[in-house]
Amino acid sequence: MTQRIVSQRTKGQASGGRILPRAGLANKALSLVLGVAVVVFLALAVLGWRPLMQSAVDWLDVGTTPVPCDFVMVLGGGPTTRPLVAAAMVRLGLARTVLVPHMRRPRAGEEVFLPPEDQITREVLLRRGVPADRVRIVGQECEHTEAEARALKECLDREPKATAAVVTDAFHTRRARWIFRRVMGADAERLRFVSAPTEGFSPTSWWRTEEGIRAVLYEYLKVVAYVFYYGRGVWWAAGALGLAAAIWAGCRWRRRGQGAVPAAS
Amino acid sequence: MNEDLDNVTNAPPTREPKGPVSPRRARWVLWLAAAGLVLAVAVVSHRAILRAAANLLIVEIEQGFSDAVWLADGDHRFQTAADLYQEDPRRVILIGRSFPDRLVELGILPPREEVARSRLEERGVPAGAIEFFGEKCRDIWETGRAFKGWMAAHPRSRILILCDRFRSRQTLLALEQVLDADEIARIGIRPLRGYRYDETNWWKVRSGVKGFVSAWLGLWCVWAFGEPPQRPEIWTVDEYEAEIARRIQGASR
Repeated sequence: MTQRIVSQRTKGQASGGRILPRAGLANKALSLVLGVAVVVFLALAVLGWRPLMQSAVDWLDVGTTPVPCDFVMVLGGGPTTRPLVAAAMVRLGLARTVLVPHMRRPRAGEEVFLPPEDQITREVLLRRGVPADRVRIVGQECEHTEAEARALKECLDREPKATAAVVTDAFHTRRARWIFRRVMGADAERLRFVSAPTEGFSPTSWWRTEEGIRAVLYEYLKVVAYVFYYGRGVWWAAGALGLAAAIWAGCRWRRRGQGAVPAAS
Repeated sequence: MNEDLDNVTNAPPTREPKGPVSPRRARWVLWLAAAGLVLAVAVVSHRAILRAAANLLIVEIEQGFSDAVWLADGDHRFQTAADLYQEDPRRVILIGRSFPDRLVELGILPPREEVARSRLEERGVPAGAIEFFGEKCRDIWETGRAFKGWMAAHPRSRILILCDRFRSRQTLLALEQVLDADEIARIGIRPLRGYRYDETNWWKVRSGVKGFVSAWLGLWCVWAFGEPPQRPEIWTVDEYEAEIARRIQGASR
């Protein structure tokens, strides 16, 4: 029995014979699907630019409605906005005590321009009606959100039934929540995240201002960096690469198999 | 013709000729070798690469004697300005008046220019050597425009700008958008080394990485968008608190 073998090279090029109709159709279908996908993506990008951009900033904001709790923690980095939210919560009876993370102090040789941020925050709270005995400085030299999360964990460990609200900028709440959950584990259920109103740019048009672009893009970069640095980002990336390699190898294997099918006699 | 076809069709299954290395494999080996080489170069010379990436953010223009020094930002700026003044007491130290933020409005902090003046006086710079320019400047463009006014009033002055090391190119780029070429020719830029990092070690400290990324983003924003057509609205303390109350009450309704 005569067996006629037609081998097919990749990319649909026939080698020593002709292109198999099945493979040619598959290639055409793939090109069509890819073309349609590109057109749909471009249409979405043009027509849905605004909702897309808005949802990008909405995704970062996981702040919830403030409810009565024992503590409200003011995260560092926004002394002109965040303490005002905490003060409002105390005034409205939504929180008993304000926790302010202790911030890094200048080292020898560093010029002191302004007082430490925790002192400024405390002063804002006092001036906005929070009694001095309701403001507590916690932690030691907190330089980043993770250190602040550890400081809050220490407080909540001492008071197992206490609940807390964490106040930060709206676009910072998702990363903050992720970090607090990572540090506090199951105790993170006792937390709520409250968004301070964003200043300097509007969430509905952030991509038109430098402040907005800087804040949102920088926050996304930080999210990625945190996932890689603290989370399992490296494993996810390795897994994705492995999967991509497996798919690629599978495609190659299939294509070779298709290229060596016996032709009908 | 038929005989040729017969030879082809009855031939045993065709296979790639078994040479020493098939072209396809050779191509892959070449790609892998190139990728390996790039990786090896990146690992071996990562310091040089990271340093070069930071160097792109830095611009330094020293142009002989300057009779005025503008404190834009950056670590060590007060001490550097005081040293420059001690070097030649004819020099004037310039400070731009910035928009008073909420902490100033609440009376918690004095205006930034007042803080700057007191820091300079602590370092031996007399009040008479310090000049202020501008009014409520909210960003580098507004400050640059006010600076342009100062330059027009002092047409012979050459000015040295002290600024953050990683923000120096961004500062120059923004100033180029508001100053004329002949005015740009009269300024020098001294990028100040940070307390904790510079271009040789920024990747080793967290604040260095933040500063580097933030500086690149800022540079890109200034290059891509330039001066914003309209500034964002700034709420007073009362307006901000009203917004908070609106949100809390609106949410609890």
